[in-house]
Amino acid sequence: MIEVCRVGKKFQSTTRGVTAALRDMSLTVEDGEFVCLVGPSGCGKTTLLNLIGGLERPDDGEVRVHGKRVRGPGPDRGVMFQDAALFPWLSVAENVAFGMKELRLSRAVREARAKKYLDLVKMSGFAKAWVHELSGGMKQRVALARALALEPDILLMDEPFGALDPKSRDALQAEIVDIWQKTHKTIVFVTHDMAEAVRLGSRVIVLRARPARVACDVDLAARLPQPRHVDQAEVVELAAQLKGELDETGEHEAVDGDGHGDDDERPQATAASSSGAGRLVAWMGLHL
Amino acid sequence: MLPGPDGVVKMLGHTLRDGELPRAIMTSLYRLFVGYALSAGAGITLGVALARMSWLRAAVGPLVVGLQALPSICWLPLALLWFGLSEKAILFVVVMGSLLSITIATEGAVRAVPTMYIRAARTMGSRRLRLYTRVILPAALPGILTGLKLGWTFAWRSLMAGELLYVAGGLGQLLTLGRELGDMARVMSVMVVIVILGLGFERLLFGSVEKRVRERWGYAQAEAS
Repeated sequence: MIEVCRVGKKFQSTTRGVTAALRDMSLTVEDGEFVCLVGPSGCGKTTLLNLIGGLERPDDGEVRVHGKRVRGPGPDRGVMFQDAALFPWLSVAENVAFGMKELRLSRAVREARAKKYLDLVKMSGFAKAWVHELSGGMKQRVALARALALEPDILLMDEPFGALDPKSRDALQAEIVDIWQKTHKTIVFVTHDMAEAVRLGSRVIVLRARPARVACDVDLAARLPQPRHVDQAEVVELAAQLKGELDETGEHEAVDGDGHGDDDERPQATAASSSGAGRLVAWMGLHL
Repeated sequence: MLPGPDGVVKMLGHTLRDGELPRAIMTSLYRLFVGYALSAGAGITLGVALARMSWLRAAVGPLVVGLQALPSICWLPLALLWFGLSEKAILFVVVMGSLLSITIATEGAVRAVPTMYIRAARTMGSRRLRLYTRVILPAALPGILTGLKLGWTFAWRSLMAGELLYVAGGLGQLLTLGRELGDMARVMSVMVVIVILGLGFERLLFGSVEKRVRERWGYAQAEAS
């Protein structure tokens, strides 16, 4: 179980001063769920994932995994990024075995597991290939095998299919659902693509921007059984509906905190009564 | 006036046979390898430290860049004062000639290592020293190799300059000897040896390695497109 408890995270940037990426964020992910975090860019979804992964530390609150406070990254949580981040100085099989070597597993175990997971992602024919010989989709398959090879309970995925062509993306979406069903892993999957979230998740959490808040939290496990497809009518319909939800709850991506966390409450009061550009102007006026 | 090629070849044969040239070659190569090994080790260490520690960069970064502008032979007077007329003095000049270029190239290469490699490795449990040996250094290898190659050339040049000025065996001294005897064929034959050794070792040490590394790391493709 992943528990995010009243977490806050601020970032210092040279142009904007301090921005609150997350404030007072709480959510719980049960074992075996496939949770999609979806929202516009800059809504803090990647930050949230990094906090769970232990790559960043929260300023306030805490993140617990299986009841234990997260203090750093660990092999119990496999991570996949938008960029495969494979190491070009290693062969495909060596890349998959990288983390197992850090865990000091024996050579026999490393080789057996590398083979097993390369089989699972349908890349067994490329074990000896070099990274620069692979296509984008193949790289992500290897990255998936690398994350799975440590046999983590939790898989954290940060827009892993975002940079792929539609065909590869489609194939990988089908495969990740398949792997999830076979292995019962807990998956937290970040995307900005609503259709992808609805197509994949057993639960979809829609986030709204700065600071990130949960706009809605939908359980799809019963409503839309897998296998689904992005073009399926129910998926398209639900994605559109959730997108609408996001707009209604006051999406103002362009409007950014000016460095004073306390002021973040004010624009929302203004936002409720105006729309789009007008809202932006109204808020800026308020600050000037 | 220049001596004819036949005169140079004859002189080469002569000095090779009487053992003068082989002795000088061995003396120079020994100095070169020891000095280069020292500066490669120190240069890579210092470069990594500079790249990863901003306080160190703030403290000695400008000094490193500034000193690189100093031709290495300018260290010779100081080296002679410190170490006297000894092997240490000439090794010091060789080290100062190649150390900083290796340091600067390593620093640049390590700072250019994509953070995603480091993040990915951390999620798989890499920490501290292993993060360096298994991720940062391999990722920076193409840039470090460029620095090592440059450092090799500088080490060779510094050594020759040092041996020309400070007489104690080696190919540089043979050059000086040739000038003193007014024997142009002798001077030319030593120059030919210096060119062959310099080129030969550069090819041997870096030729195929650098190309293969650049290909595998994906730089060759990036340049082609």
